[in-house]
Amino acid sequence: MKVQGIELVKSFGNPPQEVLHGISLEIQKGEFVALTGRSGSGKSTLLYLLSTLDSPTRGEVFLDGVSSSFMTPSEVHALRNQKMGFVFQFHYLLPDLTSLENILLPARKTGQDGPLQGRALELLRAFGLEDKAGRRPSELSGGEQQRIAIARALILKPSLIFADEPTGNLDTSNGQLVMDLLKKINQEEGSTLILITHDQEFAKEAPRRIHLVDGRIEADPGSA
Amino acid sequence: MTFLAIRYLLARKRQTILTLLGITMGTAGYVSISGIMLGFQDYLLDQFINNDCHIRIKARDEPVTEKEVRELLYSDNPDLHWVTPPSGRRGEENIENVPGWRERLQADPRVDSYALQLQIPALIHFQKSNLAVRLIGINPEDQLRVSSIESSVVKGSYRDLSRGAGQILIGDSLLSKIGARIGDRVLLSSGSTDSMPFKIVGTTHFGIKTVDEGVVYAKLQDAQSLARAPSRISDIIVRLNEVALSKTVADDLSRHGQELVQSWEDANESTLSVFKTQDIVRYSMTFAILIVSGFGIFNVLSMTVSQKRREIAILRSIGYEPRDITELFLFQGTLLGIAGGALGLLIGFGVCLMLSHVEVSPGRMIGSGRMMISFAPRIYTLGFTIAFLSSALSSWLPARGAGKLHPMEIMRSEA
Repeated sequence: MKVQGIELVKSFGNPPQEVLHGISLEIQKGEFVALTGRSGSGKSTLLYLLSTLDSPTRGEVFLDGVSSSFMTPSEVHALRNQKMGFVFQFHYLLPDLTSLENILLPARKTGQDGPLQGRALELLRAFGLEDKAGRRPSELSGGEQQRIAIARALILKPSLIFADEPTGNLDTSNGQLVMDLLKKINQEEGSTLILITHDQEFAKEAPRRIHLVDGRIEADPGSA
Repeated sequence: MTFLAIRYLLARKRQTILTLLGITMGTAGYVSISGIMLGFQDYLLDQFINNDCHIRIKARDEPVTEKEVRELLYSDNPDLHWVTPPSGRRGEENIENVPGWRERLQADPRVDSYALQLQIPALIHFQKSNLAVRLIGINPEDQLRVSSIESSVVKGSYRDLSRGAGQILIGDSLLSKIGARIGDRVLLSSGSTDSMPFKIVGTTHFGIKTVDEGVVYAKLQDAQSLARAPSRISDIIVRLNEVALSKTVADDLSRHGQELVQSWEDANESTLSVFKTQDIVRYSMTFAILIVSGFGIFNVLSMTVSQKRREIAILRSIGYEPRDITELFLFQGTLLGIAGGALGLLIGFGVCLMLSHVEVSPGRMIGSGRMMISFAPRIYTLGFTIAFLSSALSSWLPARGAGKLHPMEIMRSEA
């Protein structure tokens, strides 16, 4: 999925304080982009604007050429459900559900959880978690939980994946495992991947890195 | 969202069970208390309506007043002074225009049937007992059409009454009070007259103490000859096609004469107002219990919503809509209401079933000697509706609040 942001401005609070000062960018279908910057640079805000979870104060977001401000709320929800996958730093698994049920949660919204059970088990196997299908998140390690969260993001084969510091809470080896998984999906499935990371090593693995400073794009090497 | 709602409920078993218990007890309480109260009320209403009559036309007691005498006799003398003011009563308790009433009642399409009665106070003598009773002279055939008196005859036979003169039916408590048996002969007298012998052919039991202890039924002609008033009628009892019309018909009829026309509601006004009080007590008790459990649901759900903020955020980010989130919490509350309500109905039904086998002191107040319990469907439908509505209402606010939460605001505050 192609993502475009045009003159994106976002302000918070009262009196309004601008966090993003008119950012424009274009991310092509199948690209792997790392968003970097210090905390407070506005990279998370930008990510959530691009993912329609938040709406800009000014400016517009185009997804495959369609402005998100022209979509109805249910269209936006359907888009998030069907076309996007989210991975967060705090994986946000539902503690009362098993791994398998957590993975199938996006599919459940449209009643697809039955037919997609096979795919969910496949993902578990691919992530080396086939024996953890019936476990609750509290019975899993941090790395395992994050892999479950990635599986959940992938269950509906999204064309756009947002990852907000997915490795932030993991040790190096688990972090690398997660990075490899995301890269593999980007390469094999052609999903667009937008990743926020603090870690310079991980950022270097992305062909294109957008560096934000104080709500502005300071460097965008590798942009087409 | 039902699946998730059930998961959430199961995840906090203790809270769920406690809340469920509140609703269950409220509903069970409502069902059993209503069963007891309505059972009793239905029984009494049945007595009022079917064992008595829908409408009673009664001779009015009219005292002679000073004003009337002055207007009638001395209207031209303004200076009149009484040495002793006039006092007294006009005539006897007597319906004057019986043929007129007959005609009117026969012509009214709302009237099913009617029967004439003469009610007089009398004394009953048996051996050494002398008791004041109310003698009701009835026309056995007509009476049957108006009231279900025959079903209240516990010993002997109602039909025996019409077999020849000088037979009576008496209340069963009265029978044991005077120490007589069926087949014994007693003497009845009405104040000034000589007493006449009567044979007891049966006993009645209405379950109302004053009636069972103080009423004697005889044939109308026997009562009239005892009163030395051959064609005197004191009451006309009326049965309608529709009980519900009794008030309207009574109003219509009362315009036709000076007699007192009473619908069964008017006649039993005090008891009906007791029923109303009972109903208020019943409803407010149930209401109190359900408010408590409603607040329980409200508290538990509000707490859950704030504990599950992160989960709400993740659900929203993967495409669940505000409506889904509202449903998630609304379902938790209403599921509790449905399960608690259903369980409460079952328990209430069980309690009622047990109570209906409890024997209360036989022969007093209650007809069959057992507790009268109502199993009316409306108790159960209403009980369930109250449980469901109170749980739906109390979960509505927290659920709506959860639906309104914005995923970004949650993430920002959690980060």
